[in-house]
Amino acid sequence: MKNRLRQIGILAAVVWMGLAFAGPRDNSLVVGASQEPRVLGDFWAFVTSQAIASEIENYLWAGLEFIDQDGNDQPYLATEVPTVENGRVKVTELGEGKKRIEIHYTLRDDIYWSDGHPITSKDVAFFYEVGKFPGAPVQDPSYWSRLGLKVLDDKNFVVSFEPAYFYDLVGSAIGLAPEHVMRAEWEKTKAEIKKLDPKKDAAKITELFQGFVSKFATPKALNSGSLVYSGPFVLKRWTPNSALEMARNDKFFITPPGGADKYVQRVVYRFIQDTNALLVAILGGSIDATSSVSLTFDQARAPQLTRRAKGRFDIWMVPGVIWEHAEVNKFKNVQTVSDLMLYKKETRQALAYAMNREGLVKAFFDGLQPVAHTWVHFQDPNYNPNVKKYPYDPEKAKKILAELGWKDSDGDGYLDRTVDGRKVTFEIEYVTTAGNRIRERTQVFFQNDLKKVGIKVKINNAPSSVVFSNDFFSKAYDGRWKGLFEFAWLFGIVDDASVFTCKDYITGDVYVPTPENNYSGVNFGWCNDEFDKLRAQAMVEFDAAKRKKLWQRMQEIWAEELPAIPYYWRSSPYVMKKGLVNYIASTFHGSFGYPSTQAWLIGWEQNGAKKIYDQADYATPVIAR
Amino acid sequence: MIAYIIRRLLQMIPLLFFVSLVVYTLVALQPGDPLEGLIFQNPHLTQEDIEALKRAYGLDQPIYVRYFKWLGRALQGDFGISRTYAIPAVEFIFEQRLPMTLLLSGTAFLLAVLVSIPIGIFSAVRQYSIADYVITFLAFVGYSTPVFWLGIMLLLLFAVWLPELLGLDQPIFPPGGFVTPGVDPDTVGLWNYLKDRLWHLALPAFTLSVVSMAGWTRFMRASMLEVLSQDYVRTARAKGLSERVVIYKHALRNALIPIVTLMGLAVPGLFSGAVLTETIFSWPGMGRALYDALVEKDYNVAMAALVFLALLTALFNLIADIMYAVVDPRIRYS
Amino acid sequence: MATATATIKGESLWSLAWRRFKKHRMARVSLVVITILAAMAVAAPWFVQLGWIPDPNAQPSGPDIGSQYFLPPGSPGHPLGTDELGRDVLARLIFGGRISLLVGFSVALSSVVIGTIIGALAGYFSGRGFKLFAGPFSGPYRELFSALGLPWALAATGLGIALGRTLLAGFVGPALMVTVLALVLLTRIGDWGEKAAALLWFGFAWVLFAGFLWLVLDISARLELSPAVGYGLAGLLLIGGVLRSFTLDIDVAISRIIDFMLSIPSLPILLVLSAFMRNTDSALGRWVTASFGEAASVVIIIGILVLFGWITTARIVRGQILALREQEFTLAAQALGASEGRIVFRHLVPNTVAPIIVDATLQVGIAILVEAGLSFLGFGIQPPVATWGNMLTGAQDYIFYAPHLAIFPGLMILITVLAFNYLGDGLRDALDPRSRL
Repeated sequence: MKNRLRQIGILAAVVWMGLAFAGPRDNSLVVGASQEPRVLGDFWAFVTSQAIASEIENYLWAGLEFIDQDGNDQPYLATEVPTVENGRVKVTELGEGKKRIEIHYTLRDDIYWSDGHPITSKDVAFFYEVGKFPGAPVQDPSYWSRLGLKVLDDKNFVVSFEPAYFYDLVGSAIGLAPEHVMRAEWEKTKAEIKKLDPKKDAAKITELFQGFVSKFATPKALNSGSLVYSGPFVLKRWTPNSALEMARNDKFFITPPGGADKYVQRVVYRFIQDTNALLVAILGGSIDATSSVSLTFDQARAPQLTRRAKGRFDIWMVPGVIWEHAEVNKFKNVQTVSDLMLYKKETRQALAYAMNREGLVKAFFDGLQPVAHTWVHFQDPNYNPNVKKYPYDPEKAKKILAELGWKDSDGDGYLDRTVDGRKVTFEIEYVTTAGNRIRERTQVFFQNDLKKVGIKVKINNAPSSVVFSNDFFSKAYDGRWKGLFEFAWLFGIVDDASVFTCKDYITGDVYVPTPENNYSGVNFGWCNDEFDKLRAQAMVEFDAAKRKKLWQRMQEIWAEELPAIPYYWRSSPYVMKKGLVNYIASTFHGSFGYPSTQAWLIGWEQNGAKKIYDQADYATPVIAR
Repeated sequence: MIAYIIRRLLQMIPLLFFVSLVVYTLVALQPGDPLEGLIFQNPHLTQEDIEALKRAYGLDQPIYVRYFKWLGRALQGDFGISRTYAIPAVEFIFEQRLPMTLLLSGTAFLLAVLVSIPIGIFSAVRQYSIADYVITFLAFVGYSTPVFWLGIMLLLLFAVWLPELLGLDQPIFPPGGFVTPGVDPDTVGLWNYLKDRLWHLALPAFTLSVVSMAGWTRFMRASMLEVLSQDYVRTARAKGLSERVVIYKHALRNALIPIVTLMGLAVPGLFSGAVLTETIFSWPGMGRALYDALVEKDYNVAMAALVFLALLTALFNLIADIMYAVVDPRIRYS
Repeated sequence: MATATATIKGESLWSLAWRRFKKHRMARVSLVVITILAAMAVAAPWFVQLGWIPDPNAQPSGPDIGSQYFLPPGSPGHPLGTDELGRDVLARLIFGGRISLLVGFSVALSSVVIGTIIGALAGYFSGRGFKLFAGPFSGPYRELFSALGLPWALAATGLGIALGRTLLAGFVGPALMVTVLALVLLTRIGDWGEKAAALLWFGFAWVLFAGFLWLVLDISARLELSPAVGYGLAGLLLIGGVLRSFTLDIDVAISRIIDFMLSIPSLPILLVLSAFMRNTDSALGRWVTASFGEAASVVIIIGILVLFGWITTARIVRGQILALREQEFTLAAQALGASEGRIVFRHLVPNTVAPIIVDATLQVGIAILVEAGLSFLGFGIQPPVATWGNMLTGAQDYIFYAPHLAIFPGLMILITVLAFNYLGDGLRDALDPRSRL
């Protein structure tokens, strides 16, 4: 019985292999992903916001602007990107350092939904109406509360922000939703919501909003044609837990050079949760490219993959905007922090000199994930390359520690000093998420480095649900964690430095979590007034050059003070078959590195697609060892 | 008898109520809450925003109030909407996941039954033979094996080693999933689609069936042996009946009694216990859905699945008791 | 010349059993295997001290650190290779065995002890009711009150009420302890004491009942049910509680509890319980982590496995006791005036020891398997403490380039559980009086 099955299995495999090499032959693209979106077309993120969903939505829907592979704004549905220079952006002073901006967008004339209906300001207004409705479970309340919209005519409208921040100008200021398709259902939902009390029935209202979205965005709904599309592709069929198929949208307004028929006509996403199976599929040739959510770093460098790569596919490491670092508890009131003088910048500098970050990156990643010097990415236009750096220098670290009063008085190999008559050994706690192999290896690596300068490291890990819980993560002031805490921030192309801001001079909020402000914020005890003032200025500085200067000074201060120890920027691995062009994963493509941005250009060279961008400019190749 | 059944059914009601209460409390007291991830997407969420979101998800009420609210809606069949999938929890569990688990567990169950009964009988009839020893050994090994390890070993064998050894580019059995993505009846035809589905079903179903198969074989053997040593069997043999008739007509019926009960009691276990197998083979079933829901704190889905499982377990306990009474004429319930 | 007369020696139960046991070949082998495993587990720390195996948590360091991960079996210094953090697999296997065996033995022992006590109590007291609650105006209460006389009756009831209030005020431990102590003491003083104990107990129960009433009112208020429903329900309960009494049959109660526990889907609940107890947001979680530190997850796993493990033993023992208590020797013991506790635990239980032993052995295997499953899913024992289960957690990801990480831990589980199962089989054959050996 099993034998028979195996025969059938092999037969099926052979039959299916014929389909496997479909890629270039039938002008389709098969993308492998290890995660599957729950919903697609949740324009307001009422249900969830997932990276894989955003990546796939890039194929299906267009925004007003998009971010290109170099990180620049480009017009998409809008005729041009609004700037101060071309008069589309108006800045008004409101006093007290606050500003208001008005952004005038004009929609193109040649844009249509996939059912032929023209895309107009009505779709923008609808988006605005739903998101602004009281009780909407939006994930970013600050954006919606500052947002204003005035429709001028079918193709012109003005978006306003009050108070405005510079990042309001990055990317599309507002989104769209197909009004003619969703209006009827929305009216029904609105009527239901109106019957409820926003205070008492908040949970029920949330469910109504989610129910509204689920009428359009779930696989079942989408398969029955619930939504229309504005992007280069339309969704043909979505089989949950299996695959999702998209076909070229003939109503799309951009024609790639040489004609659309020279580029991919079909895009299929294969959801293979088990990364082993994903690897098998890649090796078998049934996957043309991987998504931004697929292989792990280790797998991309596994010999299985790299050995079979030659001539078949390329493996790329694309620098990402995930900042791996160690936060330091700087709250002076915590006994350990004051004993170890972690609130002093010299101590933190000594730690940075003692930790061999270059060595770590070389040993674990072959240098493929670059060392970070501040919280700003080296490809960010505001990056300041001339800040104080901390190359590995254990002697310097020892010197600084000695100047601070540390010495090894009892000969146990670890530094100590006397505080109020007590002997204090330099033992620092190091927390991170348990089960994360790379982080656990990093801990041991740095533990050894610090031992060499006389610092003892106590490793204290717990699962992420524990360490990131409000009770632990936000309560550094109470000493829940007392030393180093390694984790990562995902910064997009827009970073507002709120992670390191102490007092927000614009809103008056304090971002340092203490009992007074109910532990909100993530700045663990570093208050630098100059930094805060510069940030407040930069937040409302719409002139890019001026803002760059402010930002660069902020980085100087940061690098000098070192409120956290920067480790490295995580890279994302991608596998792409040879011959695939314009499937570009770069750091800021589509804000977060999605290769699905500018999807109308993706094609196979052997089918006549023109190679416009070269992946090699944006990533490092992984070669077989 | 009917009175007994009705009484048991009535007793199930407070039982289920209590089970759901305990389960709900435990699920609600899980570490962390669904909102903690938001602080990472938005470091500048103020405390007010968080409070508003808590209200929006109904997390600001004490547990027992939340339970009764849940109970009220559950009794009407409304288990709420899955926070992560945006579809009603009931739809998610019953339309999407339950059929997959039924397929897997049902196949495993069938496989185990079809294999264990005849082999158990064979082993008992040929007691002390070499075949008996081998079968007994295999059975012992079978139910001493951790099922998830067995799955990984089979994967290793069929998806990695053998293909490498034979130089195949494709695994002999797929390393996971329930269907090859992109293969559906429209693209490759119904027959190929079914073959593909079967190809994916083979390993997980086999893995899941092994433990039951082993246990039931032993049990069948023991039960058969016990029956074969009874006096009435000796009488039947003395009467000159052929061995075949003795075994199949007289002994088997009685030997099957306890094992049928055992199999009935095992059914609910096949649903919840499949979580390990479903994890290894990325099989999108209910066990996996429950586990994911517990990890992601999607309470609605977790409660829907748990209540369903509790209901199933209670029901099958009742069915097992009834079957026992029906099949064994010595047992009488009043 | 003296001729030695051959004496016929009688064989004790145990030597007879041992003789029969020796005939079961696989069981003998299993005993040897288990002894070796246990010995290795106990001696493991010495192995590390003697330098025979490296520390199981030691990670590599140094500049060529990158090449130390995923070493294959047979590498120098690492006979079974290294894992994803560069730790020696053999060392982790041995230390993992320590934990797995510890969990297995602890769970089996605790389950069996608890299950035996509960099962014996259920079996012996089956059919005999125990007055759980008697309202202030119910028949039983009035009888006791008048039988005892006003002052003593008031004192006992008052004490019970005081203890109940202490319980509700949050002093759970002391309140319960004192109550149980008082009840035990009073019952020993004879008839008078038993009545006083009953009244004390009722007083205690009244406070709990009042608390329950308050809860009903509070819930209906918060759910915003109409006052008629809330007060109506409370009123009915009040009337019932004041006028009626409630008898409980221990056997029925325990059987219901067993039914309840069997109705819960066990694996999901184990997951939930495990996470619940590790949750430092709750008082229970904090207490556990504070008391046990790193070993907290081990203790938690043992705890929740015992929570489900006592059931099988209880059922077996209950069944046996139900049969045994009808036998003549029980009647004899009762006639001779033996106290009930003595009868149950000195006469009845020892006769059930054979199936208990077999059950205990099988429970070890089951406990090891369940712990492995939970740890594999990440809900069991947390790293860096190594167990065979959590060594397999990530192993599936590496089966392409480091299959040894997946093979060895599971193999150890298989061998260990197999040994225990064969041992149990051998014991069953040896101790079963009906066996034909």
